[in-house]
Amino acid sequence: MDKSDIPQGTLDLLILKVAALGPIHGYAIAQRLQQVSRDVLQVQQGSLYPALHRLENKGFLAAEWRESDTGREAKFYRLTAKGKKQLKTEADNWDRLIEAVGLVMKMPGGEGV
Amino acid sequence: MNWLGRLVHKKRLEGQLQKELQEHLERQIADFMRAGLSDQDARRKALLQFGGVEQVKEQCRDARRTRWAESTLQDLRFAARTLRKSPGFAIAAICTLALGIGANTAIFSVINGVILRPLPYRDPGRLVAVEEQLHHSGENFAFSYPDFLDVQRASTSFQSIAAYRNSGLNVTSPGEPAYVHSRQVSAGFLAVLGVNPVLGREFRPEEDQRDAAPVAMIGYSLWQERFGGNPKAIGARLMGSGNAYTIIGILPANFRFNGDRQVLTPIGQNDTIATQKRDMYSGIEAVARLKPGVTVDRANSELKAIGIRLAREYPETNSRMTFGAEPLKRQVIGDIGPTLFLLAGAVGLVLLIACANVANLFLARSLSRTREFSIRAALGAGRGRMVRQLLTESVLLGLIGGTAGVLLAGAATGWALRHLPDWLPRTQDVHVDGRVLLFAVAISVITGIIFGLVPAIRDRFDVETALRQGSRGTSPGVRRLQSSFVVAELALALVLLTGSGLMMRTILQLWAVNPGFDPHNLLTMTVTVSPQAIRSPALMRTAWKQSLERVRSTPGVQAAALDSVVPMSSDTQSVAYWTSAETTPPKNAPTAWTYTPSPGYLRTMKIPLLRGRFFTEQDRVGSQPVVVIDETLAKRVFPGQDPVGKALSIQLMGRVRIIGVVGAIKHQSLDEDASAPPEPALYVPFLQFPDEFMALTTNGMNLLVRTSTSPISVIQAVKQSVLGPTRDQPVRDIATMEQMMGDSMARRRGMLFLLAIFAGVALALASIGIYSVISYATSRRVQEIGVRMALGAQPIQVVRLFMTQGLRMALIGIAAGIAASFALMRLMIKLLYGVSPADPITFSAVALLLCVIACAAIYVPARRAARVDPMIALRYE
Repeated sequence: MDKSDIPQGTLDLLILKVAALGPIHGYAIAQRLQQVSRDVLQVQQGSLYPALHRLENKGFLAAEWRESDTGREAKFYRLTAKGKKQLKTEADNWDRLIEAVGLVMKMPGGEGV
Repeated sequence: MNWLGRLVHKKRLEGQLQKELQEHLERQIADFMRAGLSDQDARRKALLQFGGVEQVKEQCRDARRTRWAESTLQDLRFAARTLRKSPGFAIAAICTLALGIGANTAIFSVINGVILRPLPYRDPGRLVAVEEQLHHSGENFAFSYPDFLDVQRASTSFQSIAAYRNSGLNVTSPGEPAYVHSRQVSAGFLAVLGVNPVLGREFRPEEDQRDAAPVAMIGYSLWQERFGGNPKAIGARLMGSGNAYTIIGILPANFRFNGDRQVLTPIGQNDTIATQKRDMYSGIEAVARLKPGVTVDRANSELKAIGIRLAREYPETNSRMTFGAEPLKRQVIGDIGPTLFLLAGAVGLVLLIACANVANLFLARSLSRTREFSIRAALGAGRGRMVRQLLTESVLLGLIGGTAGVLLAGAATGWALRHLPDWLPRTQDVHVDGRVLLFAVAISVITGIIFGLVPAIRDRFDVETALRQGSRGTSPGVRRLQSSFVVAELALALVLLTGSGLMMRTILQLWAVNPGFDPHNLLTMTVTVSPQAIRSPALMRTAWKQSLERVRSTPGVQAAALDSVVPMSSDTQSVAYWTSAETTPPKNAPTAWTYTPSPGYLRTMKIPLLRGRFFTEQDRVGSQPVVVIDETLAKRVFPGQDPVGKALSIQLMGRVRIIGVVGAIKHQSLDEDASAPPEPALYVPFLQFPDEFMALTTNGMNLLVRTSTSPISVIQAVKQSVLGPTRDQPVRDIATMEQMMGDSMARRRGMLFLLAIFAGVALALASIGIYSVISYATSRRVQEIGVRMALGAQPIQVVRLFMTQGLRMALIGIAAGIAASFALMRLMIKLLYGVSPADPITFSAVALLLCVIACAAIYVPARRAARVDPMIALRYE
């Protein structure tokens, strides 16, 4: 199975979803995305950070520096109340999109294109 | 972290960013090594998977969205640095801008305080001034008190309405005896305005009655001075003009309404004829609050209906009267609007000149910075980025100049309001508030953009030619631009000079007007009689007579007289008159200015007696009622006849005999013949004042004193004479007649003062402008001058070269200025007197003045250029 690039704009949704499980640092988010998507989704790991910072600056995520398992300080992201609301809206949008795309794909004909 | 935090804590964020990415990579490497890769391979693979670290960092910085602010800050820092490097330029530009922006801010703060700000009362949009009016002309009158009460009872448009009448009290205790300006007001006066006393309460309707016990409200400063701010002042006594007032309320410190009055008493307790007669209009005015949703128009039509009803009910007194209302703010502001907007226009011109001057400085400087900009262009700076840099510099200059300007404006307005003659309403509302600051910031930024755009647009940052040309040489385009700025500056300066020239001619013309009396060595003041005397009319007459005799025997006094109204003051007094014995109906009866002088008045004022005689001590109560008329009335009523011996009927006085005709005088101001034909006047002897009128003189009569020396020098002696043996007759409002004449032209003098300052600034800026352009031109052509002189040119020829160039600009500027003045001076026509807005004397004088100053400003740098040593000039680069 080929690896796929993440559809545009979806990275934010995925990050919010992962952060919803509890405070987590950037590396762990990257690992989690890879594991959960069974390596299907290919995230250029660096591009995670601009997205994280954007979400933080918009107030969807709150960040805190604290000691991690390595004994060094790491930046932990946590979903805010505002972020929770955003996650819900985006998840709903996503569901509707999937459904709509699915309906279109089930149309007869064009299978062989 | 919010946006501002991200901007301010940039360093910390950078550190955190570095640490966060580092942590990611460390963990990745550790994981790869745990999976069996070597240290080197793990590191390479981690970096590969991560992508470009620097790119990621840049994207993270973008996510902060502070980039534009950062580069603006960078521009600002750079601009500040370049300005510091050329302090001469920066100081010249900042001072010029401070003058221009300061003058505009000052005038705007006045317009803001006087015209734009709402009146300082609750819901001021619903406040109206209600007036009694002559219904054929709409001319405003004071209210007669019975009419006011009828309007108060009948009207339904007003939530509340109150009357007020200015008066005065000789306060004798507590504290030092002194005259205090007071006001008689209706119950509920403060409620109309929506003002609450700081302590106590205001008058109740039952206190606003003839026989009620005397009560008073006092002003905050009187409370502080005479009661030490003690709250026990409520219920305490205030002795004023022989009455013991119980204090029931204290006014707020900042409360002002039509001036500052420190004692209020109920108008209903006034039992003189001032409030009793329906045809007595003794300075009572009214203010009302409209019911919500009621318009001024509706109130007006209701008032007109009441006027018609009262005219039917009281035909003898009311047939020519009606009532009207106008927004209170309009009454307070009066007709000052056009004058202020004229001033705003004048300072606008000053700002334009300042702009042109700074733009010229900027242009000259940008030329010498051509190399710098070319290099930056060569290094890859875009044109937009460089224009932005130039604009940042000019806006920064504008803001610094604006800050200095606001400080200047604040100080200058404060000083001017304290020291200039009183010619503005609402001065207590003039200060620098948020709106004024916003205005100042806006014009600073706009100014900065305007003068900054000129060089920015001109510069094409043509790398190649610029580098080749170096910093020398000048393009004809730049010279033309500079010259047109100078031409515009000179033209604008000429407009302002013409304006102040016309104003000055007006004032000179006014001083030359013959007022009909001799204003030199004439002293005026208001005097009262002892509270002991006001018990009976007879006592009062004696007290007045004794005061006058004491003054007459004072050294330095030639003559003295009493009068109810002094010419050149704002007081007015007029009555209706009839030539027939039939005094009804008084509808449309003509009125005349009325003076009630004592004998000796004519000698004191030096008004010429044309026919018959003036009053003597024998014309008193009980003798035949007499009157003296002025020549205007004589001509109007008895054309071609001798009025002496004829009879005249006068409102409130009845049938009287004319005993003399005197010369006409100016009543309120020297320019009154400009707006209307001369108004007739009649003189009623004070000594024939009936008993019921004597109570009206309690507040004071005007004393006129003709002195043999400077009037100022006898003030003290006259004061002592009036004060009397009982020392309870204080004197107030002392002024020489010349001061009063000056005050009667206060608005014009204020205008002249301000226009002269603005014109002076404009002249200075324009001459600096022309000076710097010629200096610049000479400095650019040093080599050429050197060559010319080496080839035998004389210094005079070099001077002539630059003089010709400069004078051409000056003459074009002057011509343009004259044309503009010709069109603009018509706006001033209402302020002018005895001089045409196209006055050739003024026009040629200011043109000559500007020409001379321009010549001087050109000559200095031209002369310097002619003195250069050819050898040095040729080597100069």
